[in-house]
Amino acid sequence: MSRATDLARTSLPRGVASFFPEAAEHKRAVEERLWSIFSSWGYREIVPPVFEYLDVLAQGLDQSTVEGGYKVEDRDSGRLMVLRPDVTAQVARMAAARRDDPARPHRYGYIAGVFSHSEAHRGRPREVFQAGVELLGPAGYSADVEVLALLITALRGLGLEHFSIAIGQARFFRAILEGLELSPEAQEHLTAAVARKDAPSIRTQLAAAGIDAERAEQVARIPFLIGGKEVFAAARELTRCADALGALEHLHSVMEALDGCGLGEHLLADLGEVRDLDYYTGVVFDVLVPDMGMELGGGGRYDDLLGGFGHPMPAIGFALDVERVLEALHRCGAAPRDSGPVYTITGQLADAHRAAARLRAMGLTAVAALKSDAGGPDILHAEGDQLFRVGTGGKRTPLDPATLAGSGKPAGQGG
Amino acid sequence: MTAITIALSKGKLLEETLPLFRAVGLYHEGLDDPGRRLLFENPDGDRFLVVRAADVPAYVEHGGADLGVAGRDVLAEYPDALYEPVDLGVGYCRMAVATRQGFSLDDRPGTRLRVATKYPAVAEAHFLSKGVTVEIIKLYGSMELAPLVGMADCIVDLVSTGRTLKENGLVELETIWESTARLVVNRASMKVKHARLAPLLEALQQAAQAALKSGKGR
Repeated sequence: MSRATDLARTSLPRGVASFFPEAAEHKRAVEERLWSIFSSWGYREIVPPVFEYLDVLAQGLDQSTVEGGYKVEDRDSGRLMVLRPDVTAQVARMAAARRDDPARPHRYGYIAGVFSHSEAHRGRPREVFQAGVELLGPAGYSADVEVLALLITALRGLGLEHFSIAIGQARFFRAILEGLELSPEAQEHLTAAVARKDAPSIRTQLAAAGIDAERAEQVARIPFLIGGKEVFAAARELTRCADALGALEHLHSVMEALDGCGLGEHLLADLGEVRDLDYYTGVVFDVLVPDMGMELGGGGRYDDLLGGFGHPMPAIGFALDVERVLEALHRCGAAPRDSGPVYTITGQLADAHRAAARLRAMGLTAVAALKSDAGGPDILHAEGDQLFRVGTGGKRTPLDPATLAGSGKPAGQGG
Repeated sequence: MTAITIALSKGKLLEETLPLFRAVGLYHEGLDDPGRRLLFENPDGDRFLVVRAADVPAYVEHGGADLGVAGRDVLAEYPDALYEPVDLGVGYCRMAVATRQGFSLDDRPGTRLRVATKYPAVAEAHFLSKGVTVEIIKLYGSMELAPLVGMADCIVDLVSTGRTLKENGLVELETIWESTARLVVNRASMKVKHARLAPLLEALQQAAQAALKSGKGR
């Protein structure tokens, strides 16, 4: 059969990937490391279904996510179902379904793939592996601090050093926007221009709306409020709106608290990021590393999300893109370690299996040899309870298993 | 200082852009006559890429470059993924609708207008805003031919002087927009390299304004 025919028989749709063991082990190592940190902070695993009703989940999704979702028809009811496009909406739906007590904190974590359409040839996958957490219940700043502290701890725990958390406050721009008293359409256009940091268009739009030049200039500066603590002083000069100033105070106190925890070095104030304004209601943040050009993940506070499912309750969370995190780790030389050797044991099958079991009990990786196993440096021989190393020419020397190389730890645990 | 990479458009736009970058201290002498070289690196690590105009957004979006220079014609066809903070005032262009002499768009007997263009997103948005249903035919060059051979009712294309249109017997019906090139910035670089980029953006903006005032902008 020709190679071309073979390729057709094993082809994949664009934007999904097959993970062979080397890549899969790295992916799992990152996920396990993240998971061990999430769970040590009291976040418990939640497993949402891979598809659910579109109209139900859409109550917690923005329009573009709904449009980008992959839909299938439910053969029972004829209703449309969507392949998981976003885990946060599912967690919100689940918490609302169970009527989780809003007066108490609920800590949920997940590792799951999300699916959404991406335009062809834009270099974006259609299946993204995410690891994330949601903290439902408390609305106060201490919950914001907890989730951000967990995020920074998790990234450090992976071995990343030079990362930034660019952190803003959705209420800051929203308050200023409301103060401008524009028509809904003008608001939408202005928000889009601010999101693009399109200062010329911001000035033109505000002039057309009859806003005086000085005020317009202040608004045109908002997208560029990025940096250290000095940003807060600059931001305070741009507004007298109490809500906006309150938002600044809140963000400042969150950053101060993280500083106090020894986690401040990664923080970057970013009051100019205004995407998803309908979704985020408080702090909003992105994880960035130098020279990657794309965020590794992000999150924020979305206190109105659960209300969409009929069970109002504050919430904050984040999600990391596992593949991008892996890429960042590779780039900074902190990739998970490859797994240790697989010891392959020859000899009587029962002897070999018993020896392999002993090695596994020591944390090593071992199998009884199969006929087709090739020779190699990790071939051992078992005879009764005695293990032998097999040298060149088949020369056997008795071996104490305690001297065997290989940490026996799964990839990544040592890094 | 953090090193940065800048994606510049080949050709005329490069010539017009260089003085601005030079004014803010971003320069490599090889750029005056790049020839076939695509990458120029300074001892301080700053790099200049010379790429096709339409490729600038992709380089910047995917982090191949921190900054780039792109016309609105290019950005309009690229989904919002970039920051575009500074109008550089160079690379003036006009997007227009044109058709063959003596043809009125109202003459079109069918229900939809056939539009040939290299800019489908621009064309679609323009006619949508006028409530006209269109059928877009994407072409990559010499669009002027399409109405002449009856393949399309009109074209949407960039016009600089209008000479090509005239020489091919086409008339300009309306201007969709006029624009000059933008400095575009990668979303992550804007933040991670903020300390380097913030003063640079400010300086570029001032250089662009100064050039406009002295009449060199167009």
